[in-house]
Amino acid sequence: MNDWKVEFTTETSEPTLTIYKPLKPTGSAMVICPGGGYSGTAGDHEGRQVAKALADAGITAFVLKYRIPNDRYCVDKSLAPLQDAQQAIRLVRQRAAEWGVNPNKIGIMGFSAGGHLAATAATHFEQNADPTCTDKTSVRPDFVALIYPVVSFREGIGHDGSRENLIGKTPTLQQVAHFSNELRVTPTTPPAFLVHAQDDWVKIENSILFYEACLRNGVPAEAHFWAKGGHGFGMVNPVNGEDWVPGLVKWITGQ
Amino acid sequence: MNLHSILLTLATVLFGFAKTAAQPPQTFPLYGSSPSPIPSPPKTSKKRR
Repeated sequence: MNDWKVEFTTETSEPTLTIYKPLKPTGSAMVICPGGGYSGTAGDHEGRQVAKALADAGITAFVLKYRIPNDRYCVDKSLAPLQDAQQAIRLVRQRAAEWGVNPNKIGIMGFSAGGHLAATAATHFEQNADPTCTDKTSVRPDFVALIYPVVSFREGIGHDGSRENLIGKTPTLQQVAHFSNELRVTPTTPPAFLVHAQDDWVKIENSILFYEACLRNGVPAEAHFWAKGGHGFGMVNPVNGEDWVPGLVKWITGQ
Repeated sequence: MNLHSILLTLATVLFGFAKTAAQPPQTFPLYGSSPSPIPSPPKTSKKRR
C-alpha cells in the first residue's frame, strides 16, 4: 500500500493557482485539478505531489484550487469550477512568456471529480463559462489527462455524489447530457491520456466511454487500464506499484 | 582528508544541491494579480443554453 495521507480542503470560495516552476522548463505546462467529489479537494496527493513530480521533469505545473460548488456563494453552482478551470488556462496562456511556457502546450489534468472538471474543460471550451467574460484568449487546453476520472453523469455510469454536488439532486436530462463529457467529444477535443482501474468504484466505463468517443472523432488518446488499483491513489497504483507519471511525462513531451 | 578536500567536497555538494533544488511554489489569486489581496471571483450566473 502507498502511504499518502489524505489532505482534504472543503469550502473553497476563493480560487487560487499555485505554480511549480522547473529549473529547466521544457515549455510544456499542466494545470492540475485535484479530486474530491466536488465537495472538497485532495490538494496534496492529487495536487502538490503531482506538481512537484512534473516540475522535476521540466513541466511547469499549476495546482488549481477551484471553487467548490455551493449555493451560498454561487448563483448557479454548476458553472463555478469550469469558470475557474477556464480562467486558469487563460491566465497561463496570457502569462506564458513570463513563466517560460509555450502558449500552445498548455494542458489540464484532473483526478476523480477533478477529472470531470478537466474533461469538461476539454469539451466545453467553445464558449466562456462566465457569460460576462469578454476576454478572447483561447481556453482550449492543448492536451488533457484524466486520472480515474468521473466523466459521465448518466445514470448507472457516473458518480452520484459528484453529480449531486455539481448539478443537484434532481437535474434535468439536459443538465445531465451537458455535463456527460463523453457525449461532448468532437474532432477538436484535445488529445487525451487516461488512467483507470477496473475495480474502481468510479466505474472504468467513464474512461472507456471517453476513449471510445476519442476514437470515433479521430482524437489521439492513450489509455492505461489496470485490473486492480482501486480509486484515489494518486501517482502510484497501490496494488501493482506502477507509477503512471513517467508515462504521462513522455506523452506530454510528444504533444 | 585535508581541509582543502573537505571544502571542495562541501562546495560540490552545495553546488549540486543548488542546481537541482526545486524553486518554492508560489500561490496567487486566480482572478487577480499577485501579490495583491484576493478579489472576489466573478459571481456565477444562470446558465445560458
